[in-house]
Amino acid sequence: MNKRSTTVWIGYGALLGLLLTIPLFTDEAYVFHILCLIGINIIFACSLNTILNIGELNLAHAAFMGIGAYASTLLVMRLSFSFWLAMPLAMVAAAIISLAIGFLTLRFKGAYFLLFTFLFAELVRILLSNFWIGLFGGIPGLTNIPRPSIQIPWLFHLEFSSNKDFYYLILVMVVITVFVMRRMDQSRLGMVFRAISQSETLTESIGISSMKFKILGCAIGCLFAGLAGSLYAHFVRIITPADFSIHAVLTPIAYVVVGGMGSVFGPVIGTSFLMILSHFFLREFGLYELLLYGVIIVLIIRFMPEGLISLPRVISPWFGKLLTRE
Amino acid sequence: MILLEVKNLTKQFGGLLAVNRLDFSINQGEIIGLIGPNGAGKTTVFNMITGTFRPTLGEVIFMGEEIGRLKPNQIAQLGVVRSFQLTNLFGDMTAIQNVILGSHQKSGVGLWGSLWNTKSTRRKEMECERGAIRTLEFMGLVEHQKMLAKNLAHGQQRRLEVAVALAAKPKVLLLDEPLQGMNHEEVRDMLNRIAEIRREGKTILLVEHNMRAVTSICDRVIVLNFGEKIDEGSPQKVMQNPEVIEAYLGVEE
Repeated sequence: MNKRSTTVWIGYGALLGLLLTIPLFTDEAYVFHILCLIGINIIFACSLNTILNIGELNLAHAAFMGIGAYASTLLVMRLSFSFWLAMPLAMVAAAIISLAIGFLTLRFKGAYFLLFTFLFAELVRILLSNFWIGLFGGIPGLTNIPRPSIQIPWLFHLEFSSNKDFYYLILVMVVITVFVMRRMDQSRLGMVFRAISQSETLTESIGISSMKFKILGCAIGCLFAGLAGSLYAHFVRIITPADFSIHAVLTPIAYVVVGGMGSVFGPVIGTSFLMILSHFFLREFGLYELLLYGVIIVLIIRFMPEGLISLPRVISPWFGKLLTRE
Repeated sequence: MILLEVKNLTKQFGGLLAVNRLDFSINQGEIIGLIGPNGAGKTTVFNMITGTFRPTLGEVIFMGEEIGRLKPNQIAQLGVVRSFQLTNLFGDMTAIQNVILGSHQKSGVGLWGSLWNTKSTRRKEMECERGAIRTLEFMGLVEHQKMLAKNLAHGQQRRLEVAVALAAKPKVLLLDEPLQGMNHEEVRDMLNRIAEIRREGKTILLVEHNMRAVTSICDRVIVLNFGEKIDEGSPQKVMQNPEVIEAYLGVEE
């Protein structure tokens, strides 16, 4: 292991240590509520980024989160599955449905793909709101979703009923997600995804089936969207079809773009930055909150088109200038 | 031995007959030039051989097998690999990554193995990288291996394109105007390298406008005009043909 990667690992360790010790500094349920939502959104933004990596924008991505959320909830509430079984099953459900959808729609590119995913997002929303109301709960959705717990008889019993406990569960899931994304990014798989987004014709002409990899990329993305959905359902404990409509995908797109599209940590940074900004700081501005939020996003995109992740690169020439002037 | 053969190959775009009843064959180890004025249908022929377009009529036979209805990536896996007329590279990747991707399909690097970073995969990846460096050396790009493809000079980009195609281990290499936009020095260099590729036993089909280049390295040339073959034979013989001269230079009044 070389020196640079040692520093990087120490950095990750310190960050993780900080995140683990947050409960020592504060006890406020609201803080943990926001932190959990940030975690869920990070997982979702990472999964969205996987699909952006193959060069497509999936407007139905929130619908796949919804599939995960509803699948997990229904398995737990109707079939009394354990959450720990329902969560992976929900992920697989989202991924399998995305395989079918991807097979049908990924042959279309750009705007056409966008339109088909828009269609699918609406289809899912309408299906959940108006059909099998006994099962899906219609427009009011499903309520009183139980929080998960771990129970090993006579050994220990862990309830994730408080936001603080749930925070740890989400932290573990975020770490797993980021780890998988990083592995993927560094492996041949990530390389092929980037290749497809840069030139699909060349990828085909060197014998790589771009269709196969695009379907695979979508399925991996939707797997984690399913995870985000399942966590969301059991954290918030109420899910409605509107939570997973087309609108629900727009803010996460901003997270990914502001953080830095295509990089592993971009979505993590973007989500954390924008959500902390809006929940902890911009609240003070009342009416002007959303206005300021928009201005900040525009400024970041104007001055850091590659996202917050490029901040060190953007400001380093500035420092250079300051130093030479002195 | 005939490696690649097209029979009665025809492509119609609406009312336009881009390629009309074209027949030719390429033997193992030959360099064939496909020439003709702009719009003669040369690139369309390429696109049909490599599966980008489906022929309206006729067939493409590679090593005794009909490939005209296969997908581009399947054809490439069989060993028919092309370069593009307009520079087509993975611009935001380094030169060596471009070549590694070129060899991906034949490298045996499995996706799961790569994801879990297993020992055997790492060994294969190392092998792949060594192979890529050899290919880059062969194309004279090894000192630029860490540069992003989009930052290379035009001549280097064109050489890198050939390197990417070579990495895919083709049996037939189809080069679409590899000399386009190059200066004299670069042209000479590229021609030497193409001749070298051929000495290694590869079969090459070349689309080119540069007449001197074509006559200097091709064993045979096929002349297209308005989608039809007007002549075929040794470069010297073809250049004497009044019909060919007319197609290229126009008629003297």
